[in-house]
Amino acid sequence: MLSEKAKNSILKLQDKYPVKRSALLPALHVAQAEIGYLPQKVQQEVADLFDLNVTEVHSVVTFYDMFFEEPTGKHLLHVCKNISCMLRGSDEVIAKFRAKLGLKPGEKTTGDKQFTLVASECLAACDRAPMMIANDKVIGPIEEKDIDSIIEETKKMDGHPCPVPNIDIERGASH
Amino acid sequence: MSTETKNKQSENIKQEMINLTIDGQVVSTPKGSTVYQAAQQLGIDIPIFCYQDRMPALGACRMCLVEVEKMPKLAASCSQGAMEGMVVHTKSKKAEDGRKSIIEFLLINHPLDCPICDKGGECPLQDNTLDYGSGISRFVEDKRKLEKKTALGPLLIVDQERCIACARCTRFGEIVAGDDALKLKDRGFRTEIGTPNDQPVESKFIGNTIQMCPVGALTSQVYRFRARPWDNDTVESTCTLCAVGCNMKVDTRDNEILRVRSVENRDVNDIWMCDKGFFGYEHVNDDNRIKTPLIRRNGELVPAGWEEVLELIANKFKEVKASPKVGALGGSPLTVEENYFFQKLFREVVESPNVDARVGLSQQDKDQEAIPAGTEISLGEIESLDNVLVLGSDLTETFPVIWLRLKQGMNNGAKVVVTGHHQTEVSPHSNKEIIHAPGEEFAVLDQLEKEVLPTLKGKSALFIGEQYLKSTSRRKILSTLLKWKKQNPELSLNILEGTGNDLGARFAGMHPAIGPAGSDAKQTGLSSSDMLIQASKEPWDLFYVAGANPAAKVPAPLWDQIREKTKFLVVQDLFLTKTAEEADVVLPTLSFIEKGGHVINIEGRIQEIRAAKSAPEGLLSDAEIFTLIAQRLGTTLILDKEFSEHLKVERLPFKVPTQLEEISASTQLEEIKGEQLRLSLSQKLFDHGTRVQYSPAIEQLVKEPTISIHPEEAINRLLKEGDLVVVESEQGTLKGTLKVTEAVAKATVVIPEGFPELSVAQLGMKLSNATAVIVKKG
Amino acid sequence: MPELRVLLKNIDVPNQKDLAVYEQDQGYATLRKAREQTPDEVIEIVKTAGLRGRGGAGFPTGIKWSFVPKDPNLEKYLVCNCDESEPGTFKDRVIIEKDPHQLIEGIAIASYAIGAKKAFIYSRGEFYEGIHILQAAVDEAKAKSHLGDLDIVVHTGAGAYIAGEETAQLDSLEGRKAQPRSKPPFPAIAGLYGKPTVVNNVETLCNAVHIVKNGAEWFQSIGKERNNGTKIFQISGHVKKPGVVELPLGTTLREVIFEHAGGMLDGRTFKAVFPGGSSCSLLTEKDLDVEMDFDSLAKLKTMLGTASLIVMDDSADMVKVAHRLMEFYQNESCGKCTPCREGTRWMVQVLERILSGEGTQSDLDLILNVCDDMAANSFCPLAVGAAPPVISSVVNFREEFEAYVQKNPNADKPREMKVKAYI
Repeated sequence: MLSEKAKNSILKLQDKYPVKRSALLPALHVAQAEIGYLPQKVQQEVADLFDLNVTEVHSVVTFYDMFFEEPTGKHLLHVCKNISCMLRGSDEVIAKFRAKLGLKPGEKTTGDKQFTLVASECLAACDRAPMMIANDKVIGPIEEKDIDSIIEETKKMDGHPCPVPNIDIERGASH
Repeated sequence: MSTETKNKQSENIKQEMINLTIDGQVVSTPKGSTVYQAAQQLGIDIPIFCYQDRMPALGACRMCLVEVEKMPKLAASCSQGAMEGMVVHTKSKKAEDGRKSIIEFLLINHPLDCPICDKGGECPLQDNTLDYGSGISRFVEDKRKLEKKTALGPLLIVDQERCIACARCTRFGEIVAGDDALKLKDRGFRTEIGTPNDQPVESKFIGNTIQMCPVGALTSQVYRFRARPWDNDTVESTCTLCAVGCNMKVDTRDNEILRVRSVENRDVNDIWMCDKGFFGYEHVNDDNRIKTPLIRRNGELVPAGWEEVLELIANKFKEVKASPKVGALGGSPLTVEENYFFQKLFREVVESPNVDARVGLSQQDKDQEAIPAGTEISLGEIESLDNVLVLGSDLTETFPVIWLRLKQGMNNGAKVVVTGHHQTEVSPHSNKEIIHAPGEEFAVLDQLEKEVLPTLKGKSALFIGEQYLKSTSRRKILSTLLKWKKQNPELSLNILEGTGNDLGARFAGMHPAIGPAGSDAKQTGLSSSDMLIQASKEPWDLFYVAGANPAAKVPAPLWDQIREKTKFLVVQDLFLTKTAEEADVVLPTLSFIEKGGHVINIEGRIQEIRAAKSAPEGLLSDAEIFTLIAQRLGTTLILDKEFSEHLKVERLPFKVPTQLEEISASTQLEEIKGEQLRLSLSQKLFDHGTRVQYSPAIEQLVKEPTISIHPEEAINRLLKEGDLVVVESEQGTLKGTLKVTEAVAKATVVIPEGFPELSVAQLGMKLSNATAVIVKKG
Repeated sequence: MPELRVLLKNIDVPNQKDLAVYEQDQGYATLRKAREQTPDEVIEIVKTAGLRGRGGAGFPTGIKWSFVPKDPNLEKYLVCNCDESEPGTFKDRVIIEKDPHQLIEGIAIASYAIGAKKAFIYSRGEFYEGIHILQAAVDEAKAKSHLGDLDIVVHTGAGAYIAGEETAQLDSLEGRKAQPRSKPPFPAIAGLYGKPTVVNNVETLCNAVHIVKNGAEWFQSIGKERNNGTKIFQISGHVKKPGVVELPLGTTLREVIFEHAGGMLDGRTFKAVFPGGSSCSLLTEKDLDVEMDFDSLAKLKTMLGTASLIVMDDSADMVKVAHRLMEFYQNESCGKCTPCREGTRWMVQVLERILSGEGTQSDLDLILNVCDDMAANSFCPLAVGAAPPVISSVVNFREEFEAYVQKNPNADKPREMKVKAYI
């Protein structure tokens, strides 16, 4: 369940737009930051705040890469795999991350639910290739020797990053 | 061609025209047309998938590519505007190659399981592949492997592999039905059709998506794997499961109904139908149909021969001839002709004036009723309205396809104001909504008169529904609306009540005060409720019930008295209804799919129904039964010529008086005392009426009926959602489950009709909207 | 030639993102200057300057602005496209993180010119830092009344490359899936909420500030005819100094790579470059002297795009490059139109098969043909951009593809079809 704080944040976001539906993507970010992902019942809550059918919200959620319908780890590691990073060794970096995190083939989230690793498309910091975003922090160029410390430093972060500024939520309250 | 279509065309003539050349032929087309539309004018066939002419073009599937001179790329003709001087080639090599490529792309992940696909034989993908494909594929990879049989509720089944993501079905939900039932999920090649977590689809119109799907991705669970289309026999007919009268075709094979599809009629249902229409025929096939006449012997209903029962009935008729204690009830599922025979049999042979097709809640007399059901405009005109006021009508539950026509009207710019005792599926789409308690209609009308009436510009319509019509103030409400009409001549009055062939029954004369073709009855008889009340108090000679179930429409103790005092009860029906179970003689009869005749819909349109299959052995139609009984009494029932002439018009005229005289105010609104709430009766498309009950697919769509009140009323009564509650009226009590919802007005309790398990009839014979009741913990 | 920093002039100034620091170098003075002129005069300056959109398509900005109806009763919107997602592109991120007020000033000028009272910055959701910086800058500018009656909303996307396409961006900004709309109507007539809307890239809007500040003639004096002004080039891949560099349009490819990006990594040689992000044909050694501007690159059948140079040396495996890029387009295809949805997937399957040593000789022509079909008939530019990198890889480095194919003992036999024919 979304907290009253999060719901109020969403209502405030709606006020910024001439048509409240425009706030749907930011609102989903807010909900995801609080809950950690977007399960059906949270999608329904968001749908209700927008007077939308949950089918419509669901179709939007599944379209965009940044939304997760399944629980993720507390910390998101987006390692870029696109061309500029690939040319600078991202495949190896990703493989190393997977090994360090103990992810089996096909797995995205660690058993302790601390990390979700996503091999991501271009993140617009190709000057720092191979690069990644750990929660909300851009890191790069990544060298293999840095991977342990990146993981350790990330653990100290809040997790469940939210790109929407100035929002008030109870992060992880229901997680 | 209908008048409306003609009007549309003449409007076009006034439009600016442009000329373009397609495949060497010059065509003049209204400005704003697309290349596809211009090609259609010339009869040039361009293949399509995503384009569906009731919705704006999407341009997504790219099947309709054509070559336009001076344009660098092929153009999607569905969305490419036609322009002056444009030169288009639909059959050039470039255009043909483009379309071949699209077919190739569409087929690479299409499973080609045509041999077991329901769509096979009537599949646009097959047809376009044959006509426009190259015949071979260069694709040697593995095809997508996806779920092939996801059931989304009891009607629809999705085969993800076959889906070509044309978005017809999702856009139907967004644009035409407004229910957002199906969505395209995910993106790119991972795109799938469906609902969140494959939950059952929430729609009353999903059959349309099955019909529109250009591949076999959406198929019907009822029709699945049952036939090849070329083996089916098809008969066009009219749906009588509500009063919209959608045109339909019935597909049968070996005399078994396999499916129902809609048939285009721009003036009625356009190309749509509701799921009750698509799947509600199943009761016709049901094994619970009564198969022989039944007669009560030693307290038991046992099979009997037609000869015996008809003779018995004829003899009874002789006995009760001219008795004032004889009544004929029912007629809504019967054709106009059958209703005509029914009333004639009673009025002329039995010599009883007590005939009434209206069985159920208290019937208003002609004065109270003031104006009967009917519409000034045709359903086809709804799409071109500028303003609609929906007053107390739950459109999707009572006249579902009228909602689709209205939604298209809204897509064309119509503004819609909705009032009523509770929110409906139309609410989210309305421009303004007033939810109010029963009895507050005049305050609401006052408000509308001040705020809305002066703003109406252009063609406007009033849709008045049962919440307002089943009110003791009906006449006064209509009188107010007539006053509005005087102020605004472009405002039409449309009275939306009733179901099935109610209008046809009335037109045939199955009304105690009205004879055939609207004539005054020679002798006014009793209304059905008056007959039943009288029969509950003193001995009654005979009731003849055809296609009605009075036992379910009156309080149970009252029915027990009626039954006890009724000496002879004949019931004619498809199923052994509660009334039939207690009859002396039960006569099995035919469904609307097994007989021919005329029916009249809510707009007074006279339409034909046709037998799509032969009658089950040993069964007779209502008309045949009436005729045989009459014969035994020396009368030949025939449709007299004058009456037949009346059935030749397209639509019966809907006469709207210019004003209504005030009549004595015997219809004062009951005072509310203390804890009382006002009753509002609602209707559900999928209720537990006999036809739904025996149609297994749609029966699963029936939601448990509840007694609904506003949260504030619940708090005041210390009640919560799910509580077992008792509703008390002056005449009876009703137990049921409570629903607490802000969708209902305060001071109101909403109870649906049509559910034996929550039979609102228990609250009394004289219920109306605004009857005062108490709701308390049960 | 040394770098000519106009837009990037102040990115290294400490705390440039703070309003007080921005104001020190005539910050918001240009906006005030613009407001002393009529909106039409502002449009005229930008038109005369010949500014072409920096988001990829290169459409003249002043002309785009002039399409907006002048009716003062019509609500109009400006949308700043900051959904920077083209592989190899990272200029907008630099601007919003380092010098956000420059963009905000540009937005305010453009909004004034087209009569918009509401502007949106559509930032890709992954710009966590940039979004927060932008929001703080907007708040500061608003608090100090620089924006007048203009309201700027910083909007967060949610991860979809296609949202960078202007009409898809409008759908996304309306809270829907980012799927492109049919044109016409063009956004300038019916855009956001059906109202006249201009969508401009971050760099385009920043350029507007300097054009209004320094005049059209100044702008024309930089670069080449029809290709005026500076351009922020972004160089990534196998170069010594990946990063941003601002140079006049028309600077040669060789200069950008070998002078400004420090040349190739030690011991490696230049092999190929995507000159304008990934959605264009690659160039090779023989093309190094091409001038980097819209028209010169178009003549070589490639494009300036976002001026993002993805540089590859002799270690680059062109089959892997082609596969990785096609996989990107496959993942980012919105799924609306048939050729893109099906074609990108098909091509990924074929390239994967080649990489796994199961390719056949005929696959190479198949790739060329299917990519052509896909690009020719798609709804929007995504598939149009998906084809050239792969086609140009096969055409220029066919031998590398053939080497993979030759690993397959049956390379010369056509692969057996799963379905031979369907009629």
